[in-house]
Parts: sequence; structure tokens; C-alpha cells
Amino acid sequence: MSHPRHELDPVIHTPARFSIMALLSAVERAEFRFVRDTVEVSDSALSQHLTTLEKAGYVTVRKAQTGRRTTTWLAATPAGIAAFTCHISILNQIAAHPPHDANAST
Amino acid sequence: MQDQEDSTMARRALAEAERVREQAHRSSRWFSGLLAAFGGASIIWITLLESVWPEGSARSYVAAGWAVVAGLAAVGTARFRVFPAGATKRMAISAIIWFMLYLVVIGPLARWQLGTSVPGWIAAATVMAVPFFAAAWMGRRP
Repeated sequence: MSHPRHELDPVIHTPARFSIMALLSAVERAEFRFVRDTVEVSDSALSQHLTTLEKAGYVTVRKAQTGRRTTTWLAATPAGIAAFTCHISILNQIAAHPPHDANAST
Repeated sequence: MQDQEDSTMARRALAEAERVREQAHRSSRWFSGLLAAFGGASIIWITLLESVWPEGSARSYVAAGWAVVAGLAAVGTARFRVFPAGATKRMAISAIIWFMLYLVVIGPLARWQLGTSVPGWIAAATVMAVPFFAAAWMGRRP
């Protein structure tokens, strides 16, 4: 029997991307700066992580004009929410996994 | 040993997810306030429209006033950085139910039974505003 850790989504598993998905799966949409401040990453790091998540089909990035300012809105896609929910359930399994069970199975 | 590390890592990740979600929830509370404000404004608007100024040009100004309030609210929401999950759906559903109650059910019934009675229309408008208040209450906690 394989350990649940092997089922973790490699795209979401990175700490920053995990936090981004945790945030976006809890809201309808959030502004780029809010995500940056909450996840505590730089603009460039967030952009890189968003590119990865966007390529995986987990988030959408939309730019909107608000007066003279451009606002970047981020949102999780249904596929992203499903992947994050699955990731969380696996983490719950791992967190509840008693160490002696694994020793017994190997 | 590996299992112990995995378990600790998983607990930390779950705690981080909870922290981030709590932050998102705190930052999106404004939306429930907006829905409640819409409910309150709709009570005032309907009472003015149906009871205080039921006829004449004042009625037209009051009617147009609702469009101004909705427009200002739309502009005002642009300064918020987070929209809670299901925000658009909650607003749309509560507005449609409110409008249908006003147009088809309680509005005609109140006009027929209450005439231009101020207390009567305040009560009727409060019942019609329930969808806004219910949507605001539902957004208090995920």
C-alpha cells in the first residue's frame, strides 16, 4: 500500500502555491496585492507561481481598469478548487496517520 | 521517522491554510454589510415610493434615486480587494427575489390592502428586504 504523500499534487505542494490556492479557494476573487500581502511573497515570486498555477488550469488572472489604475484579479477555477480540496483531504489523512501504521505496512 | 515528519509537515500546511482562509474571510466581511445596506436602502426606497410620494414628479425622482444608489454601490465595491465566495450569486439571487416579491407578490397585495399607509409599507418593505438580510447573514461564516 503506498503512502498518501505520493498522491499530493506537485503543483500545489510548494508552500507559496499552497497558500495561494488556500486563499483563492476561499474567495470568489482577490486582488493581486491582497494575495501578495497575505501569502507574504514578492510581486515577481507571486507572478511566477501564478504562471505555474495558470498553466495547470488552477487559477485565472484577469486585468480590469479601475479609473486610471489597472487591477489584477485572481480567482481559482473549479478544477483548481477540486485539486486543492483533494490535496487538503490527503494532508488530513497524513496528519492523522499514526507512525506505527506505516512501519507495519513496510 | 519519515511518517512523523510527514505528519508534522501536513499539520503545518493545514494550519497555514486555516490562517490564510481566516484572513480572506475577515477581508470579505464588507460584502455582508453591503447586502444588509441594500436591504435597509430598499425599505426606505419602497416606503418613499409607495407611501410618502406615491404620485407626481417626486415619485420619478425617488425611482431614479435607486439607480443612483445601485450605481454608487457598484463604484464603491471597486475599492475592495476581496470578494467572498459566491458573492455575485448571492447578490443576484437576493436582488431577483426582492424584485419579484415587489413586482408580483407583496407589492400588488400591499398596494391593494394598505393603500399609502406608511407603517404598512414599512412592514411590507421589510418583508421584501428579507432576501438581502438572509444573504448577508449567510455570509457571516463559511
